Amino acid sequence: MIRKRGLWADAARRLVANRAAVASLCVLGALCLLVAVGPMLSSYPADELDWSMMGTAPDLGSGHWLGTDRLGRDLFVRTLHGARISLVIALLATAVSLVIGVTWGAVAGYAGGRVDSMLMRFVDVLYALPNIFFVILLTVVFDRSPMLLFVAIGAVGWLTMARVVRGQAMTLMRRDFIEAAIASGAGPSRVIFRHVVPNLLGTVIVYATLMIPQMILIESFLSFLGIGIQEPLASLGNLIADGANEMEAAPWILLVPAGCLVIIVFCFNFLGDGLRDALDPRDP
Amino acid sequence: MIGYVLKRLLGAIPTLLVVIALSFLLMRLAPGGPFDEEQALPAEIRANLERAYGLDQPLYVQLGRYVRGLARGDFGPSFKFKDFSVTELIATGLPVSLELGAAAMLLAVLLGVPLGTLAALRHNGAVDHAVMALAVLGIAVPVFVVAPLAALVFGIYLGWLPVAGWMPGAARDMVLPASTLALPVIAYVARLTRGSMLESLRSPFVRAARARGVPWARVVWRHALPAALTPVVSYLGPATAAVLTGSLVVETIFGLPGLGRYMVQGALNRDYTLVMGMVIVYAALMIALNLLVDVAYAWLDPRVRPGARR
Amino acid sequence: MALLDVRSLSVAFETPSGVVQAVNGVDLAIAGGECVAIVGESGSGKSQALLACAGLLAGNGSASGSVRFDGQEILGLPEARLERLRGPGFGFVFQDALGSLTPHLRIGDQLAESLQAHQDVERAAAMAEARRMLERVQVPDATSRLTQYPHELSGGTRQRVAIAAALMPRPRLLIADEPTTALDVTVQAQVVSLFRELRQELGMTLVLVTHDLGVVAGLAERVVVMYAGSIVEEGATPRLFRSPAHPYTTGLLAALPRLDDVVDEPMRAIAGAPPRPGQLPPGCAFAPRCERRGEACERQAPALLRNRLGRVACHHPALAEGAT
Repeated sequence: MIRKRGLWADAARRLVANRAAVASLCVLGALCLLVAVGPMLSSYPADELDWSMMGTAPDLGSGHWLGTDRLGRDLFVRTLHGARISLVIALLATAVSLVIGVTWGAVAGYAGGRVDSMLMRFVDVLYALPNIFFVILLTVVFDRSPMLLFVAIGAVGWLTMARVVRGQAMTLMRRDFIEAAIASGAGPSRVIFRHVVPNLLGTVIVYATLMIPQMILIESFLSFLGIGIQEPLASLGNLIADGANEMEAAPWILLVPAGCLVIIVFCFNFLGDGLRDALDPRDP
Repeated sequence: MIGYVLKRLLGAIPTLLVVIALSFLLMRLAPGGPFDEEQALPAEIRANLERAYGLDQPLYVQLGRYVRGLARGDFGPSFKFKDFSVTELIATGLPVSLELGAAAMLLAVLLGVPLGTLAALRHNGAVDHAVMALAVLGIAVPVFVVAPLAALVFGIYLGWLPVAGWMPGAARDMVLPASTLALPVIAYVARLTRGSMLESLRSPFVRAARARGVPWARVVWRHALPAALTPVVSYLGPATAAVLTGSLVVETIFGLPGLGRYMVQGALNRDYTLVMGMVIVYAALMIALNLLVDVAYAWLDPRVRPGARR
Repeated sequence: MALLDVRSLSVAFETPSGVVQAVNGVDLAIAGGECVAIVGESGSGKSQALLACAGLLAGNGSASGSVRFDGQEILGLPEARLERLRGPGFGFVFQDALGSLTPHLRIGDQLAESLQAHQDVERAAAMAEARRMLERVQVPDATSRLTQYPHELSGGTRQRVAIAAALMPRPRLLIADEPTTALDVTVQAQVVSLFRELRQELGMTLVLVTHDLGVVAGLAERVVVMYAGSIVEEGATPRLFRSPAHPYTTGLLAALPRLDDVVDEPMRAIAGAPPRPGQLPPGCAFAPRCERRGEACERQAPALLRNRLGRVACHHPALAEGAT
């Protein structure tokens, strides 16, 4: 137990030393706070159409701090709502991918032999295909329900996680404590879930953090095309699509949600890289 | 080499069959049928329609019919574009998308590799930092943000390039869409080439070639660069996937009548056969292109060729 | 006049943890036609010193001092002029033959290129010369080798091909950096005798960098011993082997296993380990491991002094009979 704590403390120390990662964490934290609290700060609800102020530029005095879109809706609040939905869907999709991927990979790594071959062949076959198209197929199947959007995205995102987890699991299986657990009569599910999986935690955390921005991008991509989240619900994707339509006259309608998206993606990537370096340092 | 290609082709068929079966089953899982959105149809007419389209048969029979149709090149009718079969739509859209994709990939390699090489040759210099900064931006900013911005800046503000529509053979129409599509790939290829070249330039055989007095330009071009290109070629597989994915957005924004646009519309309209057909075509494209990449890889690195002695 | 005249050569590398000195003020003169062996452990700086002469240091390395080849100063020459010198001036054979040949080019192309970089010959003529060179280094079945790739050859053949590639432009000075280390023993012997023949036939000057004293005995007329970036002893091969002056040389020779050794006795190693570059002790670098260490050794590094039998840098050198 003492050794385990030492490992995590070491990793925490390395992470804190990585300025980009820490900055990203702060930015993300601030953003989450804003997403939760921000709409209450502004006097405008997200869906109120303000006929008198359609398409106005950002103006601190008017109360529409980041301007309004072409229907007069306050952009600040709408962007925060959009960020919220995008983040929630991305987190749920990551969770779905995690569950499928970790189980798949852990079972394959544990079982080895033919079971492993079969499971990983399946992953290889699917890996070669651009999974966006399957996601689109699934969204059509699910009738574009926002509830099930995250299932669709998560259902094709688990492949990399499965591969990574399987690799780690195979290495772990050779370790002594696993042999001891098996020798003491623990059944497969016990070995997998109580011994293998906890030791994969570090890898899983890193890849999950790196997966979140990918999920956000997929969801925004779909929403941009109109296949994901639809009006009147706001997602960063469809806000950007709106903005694309209004580019000439009112560029901020595009720039505000686009900027928000890019910042979120950057931050998660830096954080994920930082976690990876902290938990798996390659330089002495 | 031919044998290798044939073997890979044969291996690709089961993959394709899996894709077909999977998409077919998923489609049939969809709640409601393709006729639900029509105005309320009398039950009899609906039953006739369903029989006409073979929708009343058990699943495996339908699958069989579909696959046989595919073998004939028949993807079935489009449920929403009433006058067109999916095959016709594919035939119209495929050349456009192929041209767009090919242009994007060509741009990616012709710009990405030299940029990366230059950055490696002037390691830690101004060029290196500039290329790396651009690479980060290119990779992180998604195509659906870049495309509208590019259309805004180059099409509308500067008025240099056309922003919408496509006339067969008009190269200018392709410039903006292909460049926006290629941007993330250029960025990644540049970064990959740079890293790979840095390693290659440090490798012992480069030093040995220099020690023999081979001129530096030749050392870079004939010794270091081909060795550095293998990871780039490997990346071309996933790169094609990225290009195919991005084409959905680019074709929509720039109004290009390619496969991507049909796919998006099919998804929006719940046009099952169209979407399924598109998925299969895209999967087949991916498999074919991945095979091409593998062949290119073997051609570049003699050690990987089948039958090579180790 | 010496063919290669090195004075006060120092080589330093910039690393994330500071500047590391690999070579400390080396003076060396090699006459035409000689065969000199440079002996030392890994990290003694022997390879880096020679790479520096040819301008082949890694990007973060820099050399200072003077290097004259055939009377002309070459240290710091612009790359284009160095390129013309490499090949016909000095050739290199490296330890890792697989690493000295470009994996994606055919053998014939690489050999021909070696020649065409320096002489104006047609490709066909260059290929013919390549075949002749392969035959001369005793590569069997030379013609079919020309179209093969490096990974298709066995280790011994590859090393011969690497030697052939270095010899194509007829270098006046051949530097062989650990040429036999990666080979098995029988092939080693063949390569050694190949070198001997080539020297006789071409009158080539050979600098042999190695830590294998057996190879030294078979080839070199003169031996230079390096330790921690400096020369510690130099002398004619027979004298050095018979009565080494520096304790390090003594230790190296004693460590060589001999046929008449008693089987159960432990092998005689030199206690301790060489200092890492950049972490040299004050005074003599060998002092921590030296049996003859005295007070002066820990305070001041001994100067390299020349006597009738060669050079030695030691406060307590073993004096052979007849030395001054």
